[in-house]
This record gives sequence, structure tokens and C-alpha cells, in this order.
Amino acid sequence: MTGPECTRCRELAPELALGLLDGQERAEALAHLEGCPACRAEVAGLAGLHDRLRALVPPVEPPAGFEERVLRRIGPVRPRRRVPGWGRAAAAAALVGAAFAGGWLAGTTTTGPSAPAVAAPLLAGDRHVGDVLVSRSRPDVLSVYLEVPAPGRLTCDLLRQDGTVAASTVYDASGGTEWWGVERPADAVASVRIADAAGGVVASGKVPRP
Amino acid sequence: MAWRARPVDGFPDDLLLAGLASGDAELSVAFVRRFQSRVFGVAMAVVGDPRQAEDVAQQAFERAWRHAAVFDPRRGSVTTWLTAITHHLAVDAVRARRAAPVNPLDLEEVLGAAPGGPEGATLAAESAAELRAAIRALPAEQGRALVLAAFRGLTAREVAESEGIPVGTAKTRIRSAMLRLAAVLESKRGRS
Repeated sequence: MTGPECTRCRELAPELALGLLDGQERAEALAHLEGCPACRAEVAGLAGLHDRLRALVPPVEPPAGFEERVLRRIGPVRPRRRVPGWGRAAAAAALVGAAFAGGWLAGTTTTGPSAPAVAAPLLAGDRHVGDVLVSRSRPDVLSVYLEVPAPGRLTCDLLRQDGTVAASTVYDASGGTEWWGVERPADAVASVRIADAAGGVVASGKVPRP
Repeated sequence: MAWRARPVDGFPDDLLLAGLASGDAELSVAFVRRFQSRVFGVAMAVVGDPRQAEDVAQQAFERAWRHAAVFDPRRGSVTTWLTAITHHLAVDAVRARRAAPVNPLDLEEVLGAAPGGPEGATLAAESAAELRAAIRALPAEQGRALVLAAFRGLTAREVAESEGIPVGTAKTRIRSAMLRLAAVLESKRGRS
């Protein structure tokens, strides 16, 4: 479709893409875009260019104390609640649980598929002791939260579906709630098993699929 | 492949954003630290005044915190999303207040910047260098109009006033500059 409306829309497209239009002109352009894929594509292309232009703006260090003032402003930010047993893993679970609940963190238009990460629990028997998280933006990295009861060497096996070991690594844990990352090998890894120095399994769980 | 301690600082952007939204203090601090200079830089580029830029930057973080739920990683990076929020807030902030003429030629402030942050010598840095080169190759009047509109947040009408040209000419310059840059980027993409 090309007509006077398209001509008018394309005249407005650069300012619309740059976020500079408001009021009547913005409403007019948006109404036209609803029904015109060609103009929509042009605006999308220009908006993508604006994204790249903004990335050229040199970073500038804000004034001293900025970070504290921001954190004060968004009042609900608070020291992490120390859930008895393991704080960080619980926080992660809560966070990802919200994603699974649909409407990632507080009821909005987005639903599960666009949540930034998926998680699966790490269990010791039936006790929830940690999580394996996979970020959709970095599916090549497994992030592991684990409550480690005592310092010591841990061995982590990444297991295939048939239970054979795809990769095995060791990690010297200092104890407490820990958070690590591990690159996922090319093989399909189905689960994770973490054992202590004596060979006892301290946690195991499935690897979630983003 | 090796296990390694993974400090919060190394965590993916979207997980830090989720941490901010969930009220996790440690992740929130990491989020603000990671993005504050970019956010403040974009705010400064538009409003030009540190005090007002701080207000805009604070609002941007507050909005990110409130609206983390609508961030969709399939549509772009956290940086892109957050700097878009910042840019819009900054444009709104100056809309009513900007009285003084804007310095039209800050091109080198933008183009002279070396790529910073974790990008290093990555594809992103390479493509930023190409974009800078394409902006430098624009006719001077188009480059100025682009900087005023895209970086300083001036409408075509304001560009016209600042440059002493008709509004129609300002619109044409902005549009021509953007289409030319888009075409350059498209042709690079086609070749690679």
C-alpha cells in the first residue's frame, strides 16, 4: 500500500523512530502503522538504527553517590532475606518461580516464554538445596546456585540422558551459599550431579531447557 | 570447560535485571553499577546538564525496576532497552524546558569515543566503528541534523530553529541521514 497516508507516515517516520513525536502526529502515525506493513518495516528499521546510534554515546560516570540514590529511590530493594538454610538459592527460586507463574515478575503482558531464564531445582534427597539456571540470552552457560554446608572440594558431573558423564569438573567451595557458572559442553546435557570429596552426592537435578 | 567462581559482576544482563525487579540488593547494586555510566551518558547527551541528567538517569533505573516484566530478550539487549527508556525520559524532560540554543556540532564527542566496556574488539565494536565512519561520511548539514535529532533529542522543528532552516528542510536532512546510514549498515550486512 502506498498513498498519501504512506507519504505522510514516512515523513513522520524518522521522528517517530527517534522517540520525538508526540500528541496528534504520533497518534496519526501509529494508527497508520497498524494497517501498513511497509511503513511499519521502515519505522522498525529506523528504530533499529536509533538503537545502534545510542550505543555510540560515550558512557559518562555519574556524580558520586548516584548508585546509593538510585537504590534509595527504588525503595523495595533490600538486603536479601536470609532464608534459613540457603538464601541465594531461595531468592533465585522465587525469582524464577515468578517467571514460571507467567507474567514474569508481577503481572504484565509478557508470559513464560519471554522470561529471561529458566530454572530447575537441585535436590539433596527431597530437600531443595539450589538451582540450575539457564539464561535465554546465554544458553551456553549453566548457572548454579547451591547451598554448600562446609568448605571442600566438589565434583560436578554433567550427565547425558542415558546417565553417562558428558563432562566432569572440580570446584573448591568455601562453604555457604555459592553461585557459579559452567560452560555447557556441546553434548546434550540432561542433568547435573554434584558430589563431595568423599564421593557422596550432595545435590542433583535436571538441566532446564530454555 | 571449567568451573570457576562466577561473581555477580559476570552474570548476564537479563538476570541482573530480574534481580533488580525482585528487590535483591546485591543484584540491584550490580545492575546499577553495570549500566549507570551508559544511562548517565545518554541522559547527558540529551539534557546537557549533570543535575537534570542525574534526575533522568534515576528515573530510568526506577522505570527499569518497575517495568522489568515487559523486557523481552528476544527483541534486544538490556542495554538497548534501558538506553531507550533513558532517551525517552530525557527527551520528555527537555521538551518543555529547553530555551537556550543547542550546540550543533558535537559530532566528535560522539564519534571520537573509543568503544568501551566489555565489547572490546568484538563484532559489536567493529560495527560501531563502521557506523561512526558512515556518520562521518554524511554531508555536514545532514550530520549536524542527525546529531541534533538522534543524540540531542531535538524535533525537526527544533532542528530547524537551531539551524535557521525551514522545517521541511530539517525533516529532509534527518530522514536522508538516517536512510543513508541504514543503507550503509544493510549493505555491510549483505556483504558479511
